[in-house]
Amino acid sequence: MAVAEATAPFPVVVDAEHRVSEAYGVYNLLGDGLAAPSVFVIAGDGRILWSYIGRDDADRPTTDTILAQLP
Amino acid sequence: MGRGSSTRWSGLVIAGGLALIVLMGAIMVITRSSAEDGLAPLASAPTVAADPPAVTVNGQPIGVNAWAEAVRLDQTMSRFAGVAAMDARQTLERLINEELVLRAAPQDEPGAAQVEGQIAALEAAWQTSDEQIVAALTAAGLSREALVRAVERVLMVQQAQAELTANGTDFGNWLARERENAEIVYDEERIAVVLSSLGATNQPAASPVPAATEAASLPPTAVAPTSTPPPTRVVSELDTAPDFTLPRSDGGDLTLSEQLASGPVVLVFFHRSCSH
Repeated sequence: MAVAEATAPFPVVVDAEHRVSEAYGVYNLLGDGLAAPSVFVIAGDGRILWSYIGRDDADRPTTDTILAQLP
Repeated sequence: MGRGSSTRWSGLVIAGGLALIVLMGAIMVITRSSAEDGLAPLASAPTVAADPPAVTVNGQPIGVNAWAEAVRLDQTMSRFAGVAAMDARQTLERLINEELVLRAAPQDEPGAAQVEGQIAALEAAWQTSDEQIVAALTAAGLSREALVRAVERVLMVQQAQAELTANGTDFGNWLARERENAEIVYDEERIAVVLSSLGATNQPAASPVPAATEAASLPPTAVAPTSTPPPTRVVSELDTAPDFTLPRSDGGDLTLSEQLASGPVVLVFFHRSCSH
């Protein structure tokens, strides 16, 4: 199992038909038919405060970077 | 994914006091034709060897991919600069004018230090970071190299313009005369295809010379664009998170708006086979 799905301390949801990744504009950006690795920080009122879209699977912001974006 | 990463994420959840939602794409997603993705084929513009010309200026081609890249770069940078938008057709006219300027007064490429200095100055002016710029560029299917190339070009154009006007020549008049004498051949068929892929309407720029004159005299960031949004939404243009309901891996459904009711959410997209 790739992700510790059963024990993850956060909800894991499945976007099998990539509707959500398309809605967020990150579907197939890397030409692989998958969601590009990406992170969105969303405020309680639904505003997107910050986002990061990776150039490859390894290109992800650090935890500190994400925490710094939180309201 | 190893335990270390899980721990890191759980630390994130605790520290942030927020819901972390992880979206997994299906492993066996059937790749759709990339042609459906509109801008995707053009995203590889810089590496495409053959770049069929949209316009030739005195025999010098301006390729469709180079143009599309310039348009998307203009659109991306204008958002940072907070300036009004130039449409795709105006960007093409700007490229034509730059070609004329650089032919008349050829320049050496500026050094990397000068280019990076210019980029750093822009970032300072926009109060943004290189990381944010790169993220926006990536969202638009561009690399940082595209920005570097564009800044190099603008620095060369500015230098050329300074030389051409050093003896008091009016740049607007000079450019109008150059355009009159130049052989500028538009491939309207190709132009229409690019405009359609960019989501723009195909209206010839009403008055290419004044518009472009202005553009040529502005810094790269002020070379504004975008009256029409591209067909593929890019993240940086999303102000509000689209709501969704998806099945949870541990059963039941999850709705974003319900999660948001209890505070901010970090939404992470990755796929099941991802090892990071």
